[in-house]
Amino acid sequence: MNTLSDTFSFHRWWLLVSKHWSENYRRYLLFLLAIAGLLLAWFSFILMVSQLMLVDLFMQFSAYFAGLYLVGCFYASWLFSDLNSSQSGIGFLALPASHLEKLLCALFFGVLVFFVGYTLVFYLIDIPILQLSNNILQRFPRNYQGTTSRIPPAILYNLFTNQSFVPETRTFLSGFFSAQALFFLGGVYFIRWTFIKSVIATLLCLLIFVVIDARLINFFLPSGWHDVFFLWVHSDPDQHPNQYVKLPHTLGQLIDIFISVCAPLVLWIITWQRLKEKEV
Amino acid sequence: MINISNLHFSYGRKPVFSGLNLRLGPGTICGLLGRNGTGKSTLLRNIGGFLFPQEGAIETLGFQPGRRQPAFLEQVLLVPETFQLPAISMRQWLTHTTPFYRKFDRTAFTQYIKDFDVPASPRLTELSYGQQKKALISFALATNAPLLLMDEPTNGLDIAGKSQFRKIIAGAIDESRAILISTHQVKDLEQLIDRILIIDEGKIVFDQPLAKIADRLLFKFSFDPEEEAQSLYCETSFRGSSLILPNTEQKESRPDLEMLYKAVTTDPVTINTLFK
Repeated sequence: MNTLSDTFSFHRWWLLVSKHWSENYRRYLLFLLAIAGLLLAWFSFILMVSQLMLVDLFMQFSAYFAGLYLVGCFYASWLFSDLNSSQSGIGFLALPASHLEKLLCALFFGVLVFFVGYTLVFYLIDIPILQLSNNILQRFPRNYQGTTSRIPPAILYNLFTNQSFVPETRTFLSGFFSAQALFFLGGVYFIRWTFIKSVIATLLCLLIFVVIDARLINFFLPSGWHDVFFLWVHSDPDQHPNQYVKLPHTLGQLIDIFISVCAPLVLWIITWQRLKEKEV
Repeated sequence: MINISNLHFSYGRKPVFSGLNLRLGPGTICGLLGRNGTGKSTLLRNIGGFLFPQEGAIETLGFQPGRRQPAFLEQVLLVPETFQLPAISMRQWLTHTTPFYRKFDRTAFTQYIKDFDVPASPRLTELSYGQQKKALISFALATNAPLLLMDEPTNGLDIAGKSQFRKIIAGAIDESRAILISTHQVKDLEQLIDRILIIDEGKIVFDQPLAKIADRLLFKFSFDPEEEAQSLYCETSFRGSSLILPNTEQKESRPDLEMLYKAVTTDPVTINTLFK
């Protein structure tokens, strides 16, 4: 029978964290430098090709989340790459720490350290680029194409304040932790090509969700009504405007909590179980 | 230490073990011999908790290996044939790995490393495969784990390394420890192991201590055709014949493990009859 100390000991977990850091910190620093380089290259490209100096809020928002999803999911998949071969897998599983401690160590680096590191690097590149973009705009003022309105200086996309893109930021952030949790699971579940297989599995899950949403829910709706991701719309050419039925606020919040909290938690628990069952 | 009963294991549809039984106590260095693909490494991985039995039960040091509890992992170490050490210095490796093994003996480790003549290198990955293996063997021994599982430990070791390996293992064994070594290189370990396990077609077909083998079997070189005819196993060369005979007269001879292995895999029933 497992005792509590068999399942989790903070001391052992901390030993694991320090061991993981000592073995990988060079790789992580290079990784962050590579992210910084890619962001710099992307923003420079935008500055060069866009006549409107479009390092605007949307550009920053999309760059932040594109990078977060791509790199974060890849990193989550990589954290269990030791399990891809027996020669490194035995070393990983043989270390005297519990499966939970090993998972929590991966989550500490994959979720917390990565999120903080990535966000830090993003703003280290984004802030100076934005200043440069606004300086150029100040020196050489421009108008929106075909109008006499001036393009105003762009403002910084702040992930943590109530500015623009608030609902999108919340949705994308909560979606990120769920998507990343799928890649953690894929890293343990699949044997080789874990990232690619996880991408395919995620796309399949999305496809199933879309099919259920588009086909199944529409099937139960009355004639003339259709579903747009839990928003039911009745469009009648003779009747303006369209009629909408939204989910009750509480139910909407529950779905939001499920996606942002329950889904990653459930996926992490499944990953933990898979790790226990992993054979190399 | 190890108690396996009715172990069944297969890779997909390819069966590896079908009802394997084994008991192993402390104070022994046991050689696990078998053809390629007979499941030597698979058996070690089952005992170490890296593969799970599909039927039957394994108990190692009172633990169920598949649960991989930290207390179990601290006491059972597998030195695999191929492995991957981290790209850090030996000092860093020790600093961050030894706290997981509460009985780790740093002085012993330093001595093993010295005996194996492993050079100081900025990174473990800059060492040759053989040197890395020596470092890993030294580490495994220094953990003072009661059970060590070694998969082809002499593969990749140079001649001096093999002889050093024998000396170090012989010095490290005591009444509280057991070492199970899977190998093809029987000659490398002939003077080291004190119990032989031969695995064939999913079962242990031979399991005897070396002292008993020397007691029941006579290994000799002969030119006598009559002796050749009476032998349990015979290997003929232009210089004469190497024979295994029943040791009816209690003569002393040194068991040739390679010949014994061939004899057992050729006719296990006849050989085993002599040990009943």
